[in-house]
Amino acid sequence: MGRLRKKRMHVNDKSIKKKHRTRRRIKDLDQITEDMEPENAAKMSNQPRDQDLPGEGQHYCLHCARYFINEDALKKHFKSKLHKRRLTALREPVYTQKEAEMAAGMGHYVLPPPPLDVGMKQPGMGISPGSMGTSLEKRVERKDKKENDINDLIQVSKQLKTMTM
Amino acid sequence: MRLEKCYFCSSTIYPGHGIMFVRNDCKQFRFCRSKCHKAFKRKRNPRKVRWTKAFRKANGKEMTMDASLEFERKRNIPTKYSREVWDKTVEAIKKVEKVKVKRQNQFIKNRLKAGLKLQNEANKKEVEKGIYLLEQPSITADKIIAAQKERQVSKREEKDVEQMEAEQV
Repeated sequence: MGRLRKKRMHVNDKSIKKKHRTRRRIKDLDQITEDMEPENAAKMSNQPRDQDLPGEGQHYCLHCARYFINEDALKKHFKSKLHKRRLTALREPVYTQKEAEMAAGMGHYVLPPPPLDVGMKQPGMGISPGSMGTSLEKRVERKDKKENDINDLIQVSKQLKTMTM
Repeated sequence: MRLEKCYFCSSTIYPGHGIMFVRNDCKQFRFCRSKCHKAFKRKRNPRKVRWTKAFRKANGKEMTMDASLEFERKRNIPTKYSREVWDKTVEAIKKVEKVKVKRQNQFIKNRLKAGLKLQNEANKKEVEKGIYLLEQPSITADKIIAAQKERQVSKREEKDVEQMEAEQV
């Protein structure tokens, strides 16, 4: 085997070029925020059956604009880093041409208010709120459980000590 | 003729320059050069890219609120041409621009003041720490010798006192 090529590798990296072609363009964040509005969200999450879409278009992630083949895949996706990253991105105010113009010196530059909590705008998703990450109650529960476990362990170790004494 | 602003970097696009992208929902995006177009295709957020105007304004690097920023506007109603109005606007533009530049420079100066203050404090600390390096070596040597002598004297005195005490006993 000869030496692997080190120079000009990125010229031949077609995956990036293909991914970012306008032909393959997927939904932008501003389109998704529009989708997240209650009326649209209900429509997007209850789509009619379409043979051409993965899973006949029945398992759709609103925030990532992606179709999944079944409920399990969708649930797995909700736990993924990709989805969580998208949620944080959606919590920021949408960038518009108007903002570009304000930044250019056409009027005062005022950041638009951030959209409402992303977690709130998820009606009729068919998925429990667990999809939005663990809720506070669950976290507290887990913490309590952990503390209890630790207390148990301490007690057991104390008993062992007394036995050996 | 209309001078557009770049969607990504907010620079002015003159007629015949740049490229326009029309999304499948009919929304138009204008870009001043391929650099901005590529960044858009990669879904970069202009507010997070350091070299864009949006970043500079969103992060307090440039003046955002000022009366001098209110003159440039997008006007969708055409004004009827008159020589007088033309002359006046051209003059006004020059004046407004002058004021704007002055205020922007002042803003940046004020912004940098905090850094200057910190630097001064750091400099003072450094001088206090390393002041011994600035004194003449002979002086420091004298000081060291003097200190040694003092210590010896004090030790001797202690010994004397101990001897006296022993004799008394």
